[in-house]
Amino acid sequence: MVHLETESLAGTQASVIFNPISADYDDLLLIVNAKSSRTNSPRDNLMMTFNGVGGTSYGNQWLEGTGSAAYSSAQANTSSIQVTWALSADFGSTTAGIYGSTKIYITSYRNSLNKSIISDQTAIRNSTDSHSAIQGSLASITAPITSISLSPENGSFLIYSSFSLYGIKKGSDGVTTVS
Amino acid sequence: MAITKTYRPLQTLTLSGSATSVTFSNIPNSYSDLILIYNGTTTANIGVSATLNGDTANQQRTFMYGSGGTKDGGTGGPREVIYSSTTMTTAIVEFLDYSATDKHKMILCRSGAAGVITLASINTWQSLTALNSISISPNSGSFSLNSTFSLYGVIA
Repeated sequence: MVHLETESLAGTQASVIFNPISADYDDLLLIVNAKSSRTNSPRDNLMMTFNGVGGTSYGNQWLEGTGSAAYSSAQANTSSIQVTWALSADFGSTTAGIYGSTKIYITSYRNSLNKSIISDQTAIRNSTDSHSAIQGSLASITAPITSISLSPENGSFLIYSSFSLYGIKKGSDGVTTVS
Repeated sequence: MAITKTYRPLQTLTLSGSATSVTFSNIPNSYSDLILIYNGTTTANIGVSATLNGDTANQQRTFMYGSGGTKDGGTGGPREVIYSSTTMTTAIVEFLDYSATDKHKMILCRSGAAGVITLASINTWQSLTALNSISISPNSGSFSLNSTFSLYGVIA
């Protein structure tokens, strides 16, 4: 796993774009630790697109825990991937210094098939209020992924939000076999 | 899957046709954990079970899942480590401390297929033997063309 790029915000910013993305790897891992400027809720969704493609190219399925209940839901034919409850928000009672944490794994980003993504995310508000989710997503994009665009569903990313991209390469150690 | 650790690729297989099982063998014991990444489809929406060192018993599993608007959890399907779909599925299966000979092995599993299912489970393999072979197979049907299986060793 090789670190490709990290963006740590020095101020408020509407979106973060990784572009171009090296074609030297097989999978990508994106780590997001971020907060949005949304003020009417303690949490927000992270919206993600690839290659500038919108339309109806995306879908997802997630399972969410709120601390007292569980929910399941899916979306189809959306213009971006909603990474559900991936961001903390600038709600009045959100503890200062707390940011949502998200790990997004993108498999086979250079192949000619639709792209499949799995993610774990937590939008934490304080020591007693956080929503966590696991999610599978699909991008009906057969071109190699060359750029990733990220934005909050509401408002902008706040200062100190950070975004790190890693490349993962497949291969053989010459010992392990597979059949 | 701590990001401070380094993955070392051990072996990858991309299917050139369908297959009813995929087996990784001769896995060295020189890493702290193993991570199996699955990206593929199956001929049905179906659980995928693991046979470890040829052992088809001695596993337990607790799971939770969401499918459409339905959510549930429970125990059972003790060898299932992946749920695969006819649409593109990604799964991450982590075998923790897989070479230990003084503890049972913990296996963390997550599968996601948009519009079909999101599933997480923790499985245990009740064995004091170092894990050196992993075979996975759909509970019925087969893995489809272009499905990819990659195994990584994690360097602590």
